[in-house]
Amino acid sequence: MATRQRDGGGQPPPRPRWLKVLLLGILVVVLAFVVMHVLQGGGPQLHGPGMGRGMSQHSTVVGAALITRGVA
Amino acid sequence: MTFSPPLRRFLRTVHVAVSVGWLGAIGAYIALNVPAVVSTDPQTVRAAYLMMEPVALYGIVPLSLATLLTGVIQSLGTPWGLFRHYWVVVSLVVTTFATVVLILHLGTVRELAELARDPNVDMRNAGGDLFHSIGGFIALLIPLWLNMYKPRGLTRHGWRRQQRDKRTAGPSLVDADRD
Repeated sequence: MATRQRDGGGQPPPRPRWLKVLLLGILVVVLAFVVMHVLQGGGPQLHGPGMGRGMSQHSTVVGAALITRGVA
Repeated sequence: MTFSPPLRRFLRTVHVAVSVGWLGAIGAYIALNVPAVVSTDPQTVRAAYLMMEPVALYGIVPLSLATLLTGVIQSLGTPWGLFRHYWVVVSLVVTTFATVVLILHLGTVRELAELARDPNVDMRNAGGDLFHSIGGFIALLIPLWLNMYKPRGLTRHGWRRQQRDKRTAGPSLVDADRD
């Protein structure tokens, strides 16, 4: 109320349409990427002759992928 | 505080240079991912993974930080402001988000390069790193579009500022020189 009086009693403009469309688009793209990421298994997958070597040195995604493949 | 027009033009030039350079560096990173994903030659794949680290560390990251910094400085020194227009706010949020995700992702890039240095690891099935690089590239097209078209739309803060400026100084600064 105090703000409105200070601003002369006018109404702030509504959010523009382009902003709503953009936010909706971002939401759709983020959801699509999350789904793709989940379907891909969360990151790079490694296997081959060196599989399992030096796993203790590597962490997070790659380490987890190596361990998963090693167990599989 | 509003910068002088020459300083504003200089800052805009630097901002455009580093932000377009950021997109270009991501393009180079995506290009390195192509042989990493499709090549059957182990040495080519290994070289691609090894090169991803310096491209990310010395190319993409410095350019992303420079883009964020020059963008904030530029907006604070022009009538656009940092929180007065939706397009500036969205640009800031997307750029900050992309920079944070990029820095968090550096660990994975380093680990992939570390694995590639091991001659006993076959990198051909590592799967590349296209997911984050293409996602980042698409995300950065949003601020690019916003900066080029500058779609209208005042935030509540910008609107209040405009009302105050109209009362105190005649024509609003928001409607003044928009360079």
